[in-house]
Amino acid sequence: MNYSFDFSVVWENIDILLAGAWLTLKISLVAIAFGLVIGVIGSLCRTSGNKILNAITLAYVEVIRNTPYLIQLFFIFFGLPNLGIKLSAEQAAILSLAVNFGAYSTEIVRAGVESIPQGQWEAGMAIGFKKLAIFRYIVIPPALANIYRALVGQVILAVLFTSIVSQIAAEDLTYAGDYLNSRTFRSFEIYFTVALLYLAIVWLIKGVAFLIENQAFKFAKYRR
Amino acid sequence: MTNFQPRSHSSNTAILETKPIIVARDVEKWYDNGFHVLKGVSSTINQGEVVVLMGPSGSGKSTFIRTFNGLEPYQKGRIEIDGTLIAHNQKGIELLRREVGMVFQQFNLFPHLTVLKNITLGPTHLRGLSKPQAKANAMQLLAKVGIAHQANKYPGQLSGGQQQRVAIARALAMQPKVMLFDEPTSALDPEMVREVLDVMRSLAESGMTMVCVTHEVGFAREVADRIIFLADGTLVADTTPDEFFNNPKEERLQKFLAQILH
Repeated sequence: MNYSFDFSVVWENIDILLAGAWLTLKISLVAIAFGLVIGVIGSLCRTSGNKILNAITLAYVEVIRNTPYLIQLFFIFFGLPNLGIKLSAEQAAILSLAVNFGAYSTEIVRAGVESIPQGQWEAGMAIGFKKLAIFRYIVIPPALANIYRALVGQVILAVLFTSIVSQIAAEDLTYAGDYLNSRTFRSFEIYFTVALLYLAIVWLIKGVAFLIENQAFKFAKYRR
Repeated sequence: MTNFQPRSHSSNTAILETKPIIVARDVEKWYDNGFHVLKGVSSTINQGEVVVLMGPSGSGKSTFIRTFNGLEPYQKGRIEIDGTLIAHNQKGIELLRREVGMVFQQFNLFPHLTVLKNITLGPTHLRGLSKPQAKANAMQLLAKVGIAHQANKYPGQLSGGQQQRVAIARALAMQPKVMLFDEPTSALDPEMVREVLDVMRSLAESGMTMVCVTHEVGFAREVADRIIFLADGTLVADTTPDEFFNNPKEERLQKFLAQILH
């Protein structure tokens, strides 16, 4: 092995990599936020007892979870313009990720909702709450606590999925790495750094998730 | 420990107590599997009355009490709460349920909310109370059930008896016209039964209309105005505690009492 490492290419172009990392973080957070909303609404539809809502949601979940994310991304970015819906690469990235994460989170949150005992619903009904209010105030908070770790795992997968959006020239961290690589051919140094930056992003999100867990789910410590 | 407002013994008490709060007429219910659990049960519960429902397991007593706030659908007959028809999945049933408090065997407190917020959730969202108002009311109720000092704890930090007392306070916070108790002490460790019964006793003395499914003979004997005995989905007896325990006429009831009184 007579390869001489030269990380100067990384330092000289760190602004390009950081800009990519920033976009990756931004796309991730926005898509996860939207996807989580989809997941909560989707889990409501799946557990509502309404057959039509359940069928529609189930179809959505099945289609998204059983097709490649890359195809979903291409469909939104290249396919939708045929219908007159033109999105920027960044918009298409966020939309496709939100739709994708929404399908997975629908099933995860549904499992949480189904873990809540019937007695909680009955207690809410006995007080005089309507179903939707029970779902919102009584069922969803402990349901989320129950599946929180699984959800965070899916969030991390969603962050890693974002590297695929470089395929439609969204200028994320992977795109920045590809760009530098094609100009310098310092593949080892560049992808090593890119990997470290992904690791940093995931650790950041994990840290925030941990803080949220400690704050929002204090009660879970006392649950039997 | 507990001190709800005492029941008034003024001269018009007799008139008040004849006002029916729950009227059940020929209530019939089949489970989804076809089991005929209620076979035409009728009863009237008047304002201020404390009625205990007893019966062997599978007699339909819990099912019967759960029809009173529409948690359990019934197929035939009619139940009225304070003059208004109540039925499962009926439009606007939520409004009626606010008038009927319920305490469950498994407490069913909301684990993610503090004791205080368990109690204020209903009044703030459904009774239009401001948060300070609801909190003040809740603290009063918690003082009455003897756990004001636990207001900021989570249900998981309390004992079963304490949790059930919170559940009673939560139901009372909605200022219901009637309180339903569905085996409120059956899930408790023996040494915690008494603290819950004491609260119920005090509540009865304050004049609250109460329907209690319970196996607590002492409570039934001392607190109930009437005891209803259900067996196999049929109302077998509806009588005073004295008649019930000391002079039971029905054979089925005699058999039941022989079992539970050893």
